[in-house]
Amino acid sequence: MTNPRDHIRLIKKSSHGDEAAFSQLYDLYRDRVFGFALRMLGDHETAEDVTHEAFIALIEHPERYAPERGSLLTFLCGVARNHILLHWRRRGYRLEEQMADDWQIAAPCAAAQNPLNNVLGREREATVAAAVAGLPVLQREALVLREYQELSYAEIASVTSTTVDVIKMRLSRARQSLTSRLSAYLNSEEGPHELHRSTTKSRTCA
Amino acid sequence: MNCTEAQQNLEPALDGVLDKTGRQLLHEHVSTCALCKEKLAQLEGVRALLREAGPTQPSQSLDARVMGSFRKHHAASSGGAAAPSRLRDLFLGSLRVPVPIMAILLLAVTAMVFVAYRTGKQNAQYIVGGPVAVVGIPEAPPETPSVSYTPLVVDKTVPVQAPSRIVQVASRHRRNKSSAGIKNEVTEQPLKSSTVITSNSTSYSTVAVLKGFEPLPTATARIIKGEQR
Repeated sequence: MTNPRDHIRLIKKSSHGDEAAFSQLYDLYRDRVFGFALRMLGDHETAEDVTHEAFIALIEHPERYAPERGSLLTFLCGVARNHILLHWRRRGYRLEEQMADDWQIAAPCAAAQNPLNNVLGREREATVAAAVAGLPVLQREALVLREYQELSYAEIASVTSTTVDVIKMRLSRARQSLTSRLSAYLNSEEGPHELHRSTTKSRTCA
Repeated sequence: MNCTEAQQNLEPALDGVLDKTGRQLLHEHVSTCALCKEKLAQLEGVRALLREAGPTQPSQSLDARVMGSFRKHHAASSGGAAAPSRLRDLFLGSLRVPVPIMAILLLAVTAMVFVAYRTGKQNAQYIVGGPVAVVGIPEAPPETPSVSYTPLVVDKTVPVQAPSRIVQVASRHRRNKSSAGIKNEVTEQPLKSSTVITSNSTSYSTVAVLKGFEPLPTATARIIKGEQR
């Protein structure tokens, strides 16, 4: 069900109150929109609020979705992004300054504190999440939309209201930064322990 | 392809946007260049690490919230649409008049009401402030040729009761000459068509005519006094 025509048909039916049609759309995109919000915000509850707002936009203003401008996922991620930026503005952040110090990663902290969960895979996952969280916001959103949501350059440019060249540049910088931060995992199978100490040194897991 | 060109193409190749020729050239270069090969391996390694992360799932409460919002929105919108329909049924029943025609009819009725109001107001103004016509000028009675008259002047106005019907009314002012002197009288009578009130031997009359269909309860008429020399 990735055909835009099917989406348009479902949107039209749901706009007339067809709950089954809307439920179908919601099931298709719930996890992806939520995943984008969670990886951008790092907070489960706020990410759910943002996801809720994205689907409310689809419920109340289905006419705003223009298939010629991108996929439905692009539309939903665009709405979610606006609410993420609004959330940060309310908290007084500026886009270029918002860094990982304010990012709360519940799962990695729990994994680091609980010896039972302190297995290599989870630790690596936590470290990667922390490295992604440490990226500047604009690089992070480009990376998340490309690597997790698997959007094209053009779709990412549409979501973030910028150009493809700018997206390429942000992606390149984000990957360079991650290559540097995750070098221990990239060069050695046993590296995570040393990397984890270096990345968690400045973070608190209160 | 040199190293600079190859490294510029590494990420497009990773993202699947490099064309077939570019991919072939890059593959040939990477197979012979250790540095570019290592950079490509790092990019692929970063991608593998990122995609190791498990899927993220929201709680079930989000499902309930979103579906609740959907039901609430459509319940509100369907309730809002029903109200005008009930109103329309109340006034028009089963009659269905297109909106433009209904608008034109309403405008026409409004214009007619306005014109009727303006006409009535103008007539009322005419009655209140309009001139009181003098249709009869007293002349000297033929039987008293020795008596001459000065030009008539208005010496006072008196209230005259106006009729409530749509008629022309003449207020007749008679001056009776008697031994005690000249006496003014005011009478009223419906004005018949072609009525000409003339003087007679004992009196001189003037007539005030009121016209209109909405007269005031009272009006005024001038009494013209003829002074005998």
